[in-house]
Amino acid sequence: MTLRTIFERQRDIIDYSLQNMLRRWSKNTLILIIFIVLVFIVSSVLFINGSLTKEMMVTSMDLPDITVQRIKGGRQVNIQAPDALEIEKIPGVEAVEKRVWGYFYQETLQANFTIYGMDLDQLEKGEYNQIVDWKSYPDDIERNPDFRMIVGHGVLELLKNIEMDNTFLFFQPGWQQLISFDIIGTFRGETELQSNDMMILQIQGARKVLELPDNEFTDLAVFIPNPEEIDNIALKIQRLFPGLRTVTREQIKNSYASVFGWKSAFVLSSLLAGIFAFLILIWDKASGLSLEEKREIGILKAVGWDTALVLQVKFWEGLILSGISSVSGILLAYAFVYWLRAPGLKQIFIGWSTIYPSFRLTPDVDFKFLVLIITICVVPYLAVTIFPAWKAAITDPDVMIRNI
Amino acid sequence: MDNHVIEIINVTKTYNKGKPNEVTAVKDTSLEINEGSLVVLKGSSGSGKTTLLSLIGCQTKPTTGEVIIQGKKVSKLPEKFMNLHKRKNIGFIFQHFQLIAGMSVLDNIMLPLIPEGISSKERYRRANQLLEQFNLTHRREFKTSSLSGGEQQRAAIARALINNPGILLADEPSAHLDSELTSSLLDHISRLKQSGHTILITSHDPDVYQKSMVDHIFEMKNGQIISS
Ligand SMILES: Nc1ncnc2c1ncn2[C@@H]1O[C@H](COP(=O)(O)OP(=O)(O)O)[C@@H](O)[C@H]1O
Ligand SMILES: [Mg+2]
Repeated sequence: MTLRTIFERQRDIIDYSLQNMLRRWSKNTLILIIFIVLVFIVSSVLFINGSLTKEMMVTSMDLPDITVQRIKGGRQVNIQAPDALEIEKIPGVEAVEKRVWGYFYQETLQANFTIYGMDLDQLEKGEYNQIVDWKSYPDDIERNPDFRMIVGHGVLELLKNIEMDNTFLFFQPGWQQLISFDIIGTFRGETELQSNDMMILQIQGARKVLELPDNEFTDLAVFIPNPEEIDNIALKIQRLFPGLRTVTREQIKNSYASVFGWKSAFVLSSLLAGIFAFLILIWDKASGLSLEEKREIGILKAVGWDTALVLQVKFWEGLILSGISSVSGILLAYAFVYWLRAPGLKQIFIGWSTIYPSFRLTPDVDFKFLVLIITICVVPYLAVTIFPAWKAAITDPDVMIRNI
Repeated sequence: MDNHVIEIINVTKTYNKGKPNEVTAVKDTSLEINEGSLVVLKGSSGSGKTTLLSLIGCQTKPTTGEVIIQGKKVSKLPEKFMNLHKRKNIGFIFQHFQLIAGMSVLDNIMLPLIPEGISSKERYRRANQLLEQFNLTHRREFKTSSLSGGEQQRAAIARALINNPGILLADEPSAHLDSELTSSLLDHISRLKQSGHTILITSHDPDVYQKSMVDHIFEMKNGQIISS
């Protein structure tokens, strides 16, 4: 046979397989749907997990080398300015940043925001200038510079709903009056896991909202140029200041990772149960060759088809069905996670935050995983399609044809 | 007597050998059939006619003995080569026609050509010619399940002839036909004989085996040929 006839014959075989599948469209459609749903769920989980992991990695780059908190009675309390001065004196420490931050629960939106106090003038001048979309105010209204803020995109989307996207009013039941802030910009985040629920307030205003006295801070961020020294310095701080607790970036990363890991382990194990049920179903559907299918294989053998040719037909049938469904499952999952933002599934992963207003995952597709998913779907399906067909095909056709 | 296209030498076929349901369907049987002849195999139900036909038609292998078709010991060939030989030399018309139900008449007829790697153009040419010959052109795209008994039979004959084999085997071809259809079937068979085909038919229908065109009648009983 020349190369061309081999090619043509293969095309004939694929044609025949397609015809065969169309003749049994109802059975094949059912398998196709189940298949797509399964691939869809598995890939959605993998996509979300992959993106969150990436998000975490990017986020943790911005974490301070050591975070220092003051602990009293097992609780975190405010830290004082002199602590920062003392820590700054430790050799190897480059800088100590006194941080002002906390959470604010917005009743009407039922949303929890992370409040971060900074000097926005510094921000505007410094290297972070580019990550903020600054709003300009053409009007000449006199504004109090202490009550300016920058928000994440998700927050802004949410605030538009309550028409507070220019001015945001903070209020808590115990307060005498509202605290009003002008929104002067939004940040374009590469990372959205954290920044999306974040409000950066001018530090003086932030202290009002967080009810933090002037000489006290939430915690300290310690920066150490030499990564080798981080653990040692953390130990040293704890030894020198018994009331302080240190958390290194590595520790935060690990605790993130273990939360993610636990969640995805949970989701994946429930998926495994699903896969198991799926395999049973597929086995039942595909392996139980109907009498009709057995008879057809008998006819093909009787009119002179070789066993190998019958198996090639079954191979193509299996490959086409499982290939189409795994690829469509993956594409649907991609659309679901990255366009529709995974309603329902995402909450499982981001459970620790009350709400992330409009959390958008950045696509992070690992092709190794895709190949793995496709393999996991295609190979067992091929096996359960081909094996029973093989059993039928090696039987002498006269037996097949007599038993009608 | 050199031109035996079919030779059966001491063939035995035992099904389910060694099991409680062991059946010897054909027992130590020998047979020779000349090229171009029309032979009828008669005998009561269960006498082994279909089994013998299957052995000749390369649908199964003998337990012992030899089957020689066109000078080739097919019973000794591996599957692939036996199939090659079968496709080239033998057309088989099964008792229940054995057409694939959900498939069109045209596709059914072309089935034996797919393993041959014949171009689709040539497949259509041959199939259309046979459809014409057996007056099925108007049923070309019909599913075989929607055909009448006579049409199904003609489709089955057309499929058996598509590879242009020298030998035609038919198992009880008149079993499902009324007398009018039977006589039209015999017309077809007579024409195929005239065009040089060697034909072997099993039948217990006197309408078939009493025809003058029949060259030989073998009678089977309990898996053996008892008269010729
Ligand atoms: N695949 C098989 N397994 C077991 N017994 C069979 C098989 N095929 C045929 N037989 C038996 O072989 C005998 C001959 O059958 P068959 O050749 O079909 O006879 P006929 O065609 O003359 O009616 C019968 O007793 C039948 O039951
Ligand atoms: Mg019979």
